[in-house]
Amino acid sequence: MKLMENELYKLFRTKKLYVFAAVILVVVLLNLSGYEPGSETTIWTFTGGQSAPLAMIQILSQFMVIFIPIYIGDSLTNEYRQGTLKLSLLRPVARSQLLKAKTASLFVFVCVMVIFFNAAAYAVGTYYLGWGNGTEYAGQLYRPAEGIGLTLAANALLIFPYMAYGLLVLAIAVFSSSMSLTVISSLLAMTIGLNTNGFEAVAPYSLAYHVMNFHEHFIPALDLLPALRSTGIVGIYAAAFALLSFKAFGKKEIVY
Amino acid sequence: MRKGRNRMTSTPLLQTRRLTKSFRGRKIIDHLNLTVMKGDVYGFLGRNGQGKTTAIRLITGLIFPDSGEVIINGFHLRTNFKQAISQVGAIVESPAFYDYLTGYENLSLMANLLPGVEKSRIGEVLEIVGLRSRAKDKVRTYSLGMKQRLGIANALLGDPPLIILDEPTNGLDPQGIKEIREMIAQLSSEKGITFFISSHLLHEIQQICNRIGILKEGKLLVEGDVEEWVGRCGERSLEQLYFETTGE
Repeated sequence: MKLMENELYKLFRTKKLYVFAAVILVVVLLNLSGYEPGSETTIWTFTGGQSAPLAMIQILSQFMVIFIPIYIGDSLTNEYRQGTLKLSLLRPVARSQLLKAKTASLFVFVCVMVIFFNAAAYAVGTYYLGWGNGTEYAGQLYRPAEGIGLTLAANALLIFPYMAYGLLVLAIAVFSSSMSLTVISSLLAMTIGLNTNGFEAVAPYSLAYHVMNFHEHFIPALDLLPALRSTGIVGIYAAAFALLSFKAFGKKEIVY
Repeated sequence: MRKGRNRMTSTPLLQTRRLTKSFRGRKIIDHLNLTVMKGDVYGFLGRNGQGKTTAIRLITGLIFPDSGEVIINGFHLRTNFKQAISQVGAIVESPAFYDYLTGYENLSLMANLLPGVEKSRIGEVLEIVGLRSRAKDKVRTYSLGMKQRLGIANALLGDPPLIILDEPTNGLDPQGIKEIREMIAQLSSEKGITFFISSHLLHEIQQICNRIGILKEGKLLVEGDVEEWVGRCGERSLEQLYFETTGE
């Protein structure tokens, strides 16, 4: 618990979190400031601000693909390289506890980013378009309360593949000795994954596919079998990368 | 300056037994057997690249031996890591801190990981190392000497019986070296803390240590009391003895 307190303290004291939030705000502003529903410059058709977070949800995923490796690269690889990882490892704590604390702080980081993105999209969308009559999603109009529920559910569901991706990055970070290597390797893995999304036979087994589309099997209506399959696949990725990270970190030699 | 005046008993506080470590097929530490007694200020001597930092990393569990064992105050590091490492405060290689946090915040994070350490202890250790007035400044504004002192404050937080310092005067100016040397002597005599200090500066070690071990190519060539050793050899300095022993 104390380790987690430390990790969270560092998370909220570094500038990164606030820089990422600023980037999200700018991106949301750029997307919505000149937005005209159905115009040639956009694929979106929503007309009210309450629809903005759901319509823009894949933009959040794209940024999480970049933010997560930077966060983990700094929290693990950079600490290893700069020697600050030793500060915790020279205390009576198990290495697995330290990695659990870093994983828990990753979860908090992901949640903060998701919450901030939605707050920004609701606020900026409503500022430019007004609140609207309901939430437009997949060709349907939902009452505001229903729409907010769908938005929250979609975002909550996407946290699962984001965390699985985070665990992939964590595994890369444990093996890596530089932050840039961690970030580049993670982005490369995800880019390769995203490029397989065009192949129907492969895409459902790709983590990159689920980082973008996981929620679509659950909302607006539950598609049970694909939902179960996607959950299983993402769960296997998460478990495999977690196992790899914890095993490797337990044996990692701290030489900086 | 009297040396190792608090050598209280002949109880070993730190022992390594046949500690061996290789990297890429090259033996860096070769069957290292060293013993640090309670109250010692032990100088771990050797040229750069002889394996001093690797030995310290092995002693503190940052890397793992190919064979051999480390026993700290009766606790085996491999099988009883938490109890063993609780006996140690250490600076390994260089004092690294979160430079976007203040000195106080850094120590506060580290105190969190030591059961039973109150926040008031942070003020005490900052006072001991003379950093109380700079406690609220970010570490990025600290000089190397101040970082060393913050590192010693961090090592002192849990009031451990053994403090390990890896080249604590590296990169310091003469005034900084003097301050660190006096601090070690004071902590040893007043608090009875045992020190294990690695260095390649023979003069420094002769001034503050009561016992030394000389490491060459990962092997401990000799271990013994400084005064006895120098006494046996007449007026010769530790430097001369070092070169005779190592054949350098």
